[in-house]
Amino acid sequence: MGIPASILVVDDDEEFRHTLVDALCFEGRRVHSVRNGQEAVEWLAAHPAHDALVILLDIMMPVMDGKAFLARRAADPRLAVIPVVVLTAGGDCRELRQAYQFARCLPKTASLGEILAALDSSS
Amino acid sequence: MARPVVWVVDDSPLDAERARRVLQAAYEVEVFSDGSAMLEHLASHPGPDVLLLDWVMPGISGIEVCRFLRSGSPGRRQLAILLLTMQMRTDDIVEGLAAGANDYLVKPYADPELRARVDALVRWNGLLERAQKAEASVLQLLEHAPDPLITIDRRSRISYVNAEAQRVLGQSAAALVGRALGEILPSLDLAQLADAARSSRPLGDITIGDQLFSPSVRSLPSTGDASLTIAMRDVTARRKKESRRLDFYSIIAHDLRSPLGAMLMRTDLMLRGHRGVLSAEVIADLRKMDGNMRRLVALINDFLDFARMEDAAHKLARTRVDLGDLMNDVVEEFRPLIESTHQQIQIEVSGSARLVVLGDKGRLQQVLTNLVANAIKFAPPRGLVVLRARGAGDSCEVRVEDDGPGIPADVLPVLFQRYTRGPTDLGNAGGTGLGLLIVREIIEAHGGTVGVESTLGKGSRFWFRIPAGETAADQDDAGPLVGTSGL
Repeated sequence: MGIPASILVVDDDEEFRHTLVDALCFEGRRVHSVRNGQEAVEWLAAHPAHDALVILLDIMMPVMDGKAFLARRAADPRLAVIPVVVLTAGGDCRELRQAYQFARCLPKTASLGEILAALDSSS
Repeated sequence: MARPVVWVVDDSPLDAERARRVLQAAYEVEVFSDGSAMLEHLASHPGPDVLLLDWVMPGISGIEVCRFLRSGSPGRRQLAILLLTMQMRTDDIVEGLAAGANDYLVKPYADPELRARVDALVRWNGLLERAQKAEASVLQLLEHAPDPLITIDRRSRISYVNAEAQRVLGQSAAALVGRALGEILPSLDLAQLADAARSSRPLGDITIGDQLFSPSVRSLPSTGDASLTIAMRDVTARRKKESRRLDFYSIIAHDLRSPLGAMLMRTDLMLRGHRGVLSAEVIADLRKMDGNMRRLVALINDFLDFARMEDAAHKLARTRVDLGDLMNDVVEEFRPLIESTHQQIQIEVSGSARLVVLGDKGRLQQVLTNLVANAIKFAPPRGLVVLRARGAGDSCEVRVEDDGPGIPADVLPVLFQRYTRGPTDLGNAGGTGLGLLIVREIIEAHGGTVGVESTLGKGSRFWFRIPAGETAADQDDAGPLVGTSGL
């Protein structure tokens, strides 16, 4: 498996997910991506967390959405230590920041530079 | 029309007969020899229009008849009492009028005078009846108005509730009248009532049971504005529809932002050279595309903010908000952006009063965000943005100043109006012009005012002022909230 992924992208929008993974890979990050919160839980169960891992989390997703994932994460001590950066298209960053004070929150229209900075200051 | 009826009560048959003779040309006259006979008759017959009542009679006296009639049920037909007294008995007259007689006539009287007095009383009766009918029809209108209506007196105590209000509140008028409005409608913003009555501004929605009502207030001019009438429109269905519409807008905005985000990131990726070395022309084009896409993003955000704004006035979730804390929060949000543009931002607080207002925290944060974003946009690179807050007496003022190019005087008056914005050559980096309109709507919903001053070449100053949420008395009340009571 080689060097473990440092970023787990959780997003159901295929085009956005691919673009994000491309961009992060070009920036030299090791990225794994899944399509919703449930897949993220499963991937995290199969891949032991390590210090460098950061989750880049969408909010509106089918099966298990971002908020449900955050609730699951909070209830599981092994997941709770993994930093999360929320990337939302909902325009609700302010509310999310207030509701989940541990998580950084950016709109999906943030620049790559902003996203990288948020990832780096979270890990 | 039936002729008016006059009953004559007199123990002297001669006097009674004389009165009948005088009156029978114009009236239906019946004669009773004493009070009890008259009262007995009254119990089973409609009363007369005018009762000609002798004061001194054996058995039940005139004054007793008077008192009995006036203490009777209010539903009894209005009847005017004309007292017949002996000469020089002023005390009798005073006592009789006090007991409810309408007029008096001293025996012996001239026939035309009796006729004139009875005529006058019949006219008076007619007027009274009309006034009562008018009042009853107005009350009936109010009573059966489709919206709940509540009238309060100067001490905010309920003085009237119509049938719909009784139905909605689930209590009878008897149980409601006299009670404090705040006790009956705890979610109504009492402090805003008088102001809302003056400005005809809508008040925030209130919840009664599982229904939403939009109250509106008017003062009653005849009471010197001391009484207020509150009408409450049931807006449960309307608000549901509005909220469904907003949800729909939010989904559209969400679905627009995802592909825009992907496009922005692809552009970013190319500009960062990940797709190979680009010519200067391609880089310039990509930057323009990036700028246009960011404008689209701003447009979507403003559009959604504005759609949310339209119902802000009736959906303000008021709590005690410290504007000082709020300014710090907002400035922190802009910190990364400001660092990238090497601009500076300062907060200055002055004035004696605390900067606490009763307001909707989210909305006020939006106001500050819009003003600060504006200032940052117009301040030059390495420029300075200053937030000045001042609490003075009963209002709090916040100014957001930039040292940008300033705004021409002819543009200033339209800045806060719909679909206008400063000249595009001021470096308009996105925005629809809705930002300042949103600021105005939110501040006005808080009962405040907005404004702007600007000097070309020096910069602009946008400000808003809203009523302070705390007087000295309120600060005492606030004690338990911060846990200092009893110390």
